[in-house]
Amino acid sequence: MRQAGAYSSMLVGGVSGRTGPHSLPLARIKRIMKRSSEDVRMISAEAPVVFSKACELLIGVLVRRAWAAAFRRKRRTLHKEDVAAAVTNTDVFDFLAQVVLQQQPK
Amino acid sequence: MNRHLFPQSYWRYPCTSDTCPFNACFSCHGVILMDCSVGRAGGAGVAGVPLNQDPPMELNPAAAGVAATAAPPVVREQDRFMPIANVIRIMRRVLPAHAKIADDAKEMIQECVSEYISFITSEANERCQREQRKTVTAEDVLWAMNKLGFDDYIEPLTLYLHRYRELEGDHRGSVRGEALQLIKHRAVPTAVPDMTTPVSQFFTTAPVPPPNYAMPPPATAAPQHLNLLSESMVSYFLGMYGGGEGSSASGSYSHVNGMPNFDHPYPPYK
Repeated sequence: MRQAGAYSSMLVGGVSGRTGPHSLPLARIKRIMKRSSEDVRMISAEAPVVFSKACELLIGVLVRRAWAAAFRRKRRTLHKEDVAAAVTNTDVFDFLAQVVLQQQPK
Repeated sequence: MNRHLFPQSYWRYPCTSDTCPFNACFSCHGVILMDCSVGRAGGAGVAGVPLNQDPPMELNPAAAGVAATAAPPVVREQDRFMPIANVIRIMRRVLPAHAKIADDAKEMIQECVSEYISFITSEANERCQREQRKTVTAEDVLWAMNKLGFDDYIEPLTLYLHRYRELEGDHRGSVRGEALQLIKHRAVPTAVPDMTTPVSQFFTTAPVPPPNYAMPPPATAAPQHLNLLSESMVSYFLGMYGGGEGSSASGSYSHVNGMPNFDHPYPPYK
């Protein structure tokens, strides 16, 4: 069976930064950047590239911590409570508290 | 109109609006927006614009008014979030193979990523405005991350950016064969350009050893709980989190700056 990422990991980071497979689509990142506030006028081509990697790092840290929370609760499935726990237990993620709280009461 | 010309997703959602002048065609579904009344008002790509700002020509004013009050401004999911498949792929890369991910967790991570981008961008943009610049650059983004507490990311990101620039430079006006050459170079470690030059020169702050993400946060873990773990479990746990000195990856940047080993900045150089 082919291992996930056996080929793609070879190319992550891009053969060419422009055409190479970034793991997150640059156009989408740019769109979200533009949506963040109305007075974002122009965005350099490199900014989404930085974000594509930064988001990977963020997901890495967040998921690792969430998994630790799931592990503590003796679960093998990652639930949103675990993600919420990861967010609330980490100071840097305070800005995500609202996202987490919005979803929690449901 | 021939529906076969359009991807399936375009005609999966039938238009329910009575006022839609394109009721029988597929061009207004998916191409502009699912809800064509909103889509036509907002225009392509500008979802979420209040309807009454730009009433569509085709609709009569009364009908447009009704639509404006009834339907909340629709923001397409593809405008707000990263593609779920990509997010899941990145999540799976971090998690052990047997781990399962609930759908709500995936969605929450998706939202967190969008929030993160917005959060950093606003800070970067504020700096641009203070300095009366119009373009948000990669340096602004890095500066904002540094300011907002993501200083651990700076080093891997700067390396990544350097690498990107290097490749971009190489590829400008180059012939096609170069891509293949680059892949070949990666197979031979000696041919790898020296990327170990200090990158912290851009940032005046001294590199502070960040908290070790490699270990699960110990604060809330009760001691007796830890005792329940057998030794093999502990070693598995450590291995899973790439913790301590046990993991290999000699000379990897993630170890140099005390970053967690979650992702090598340049997987080809592993």
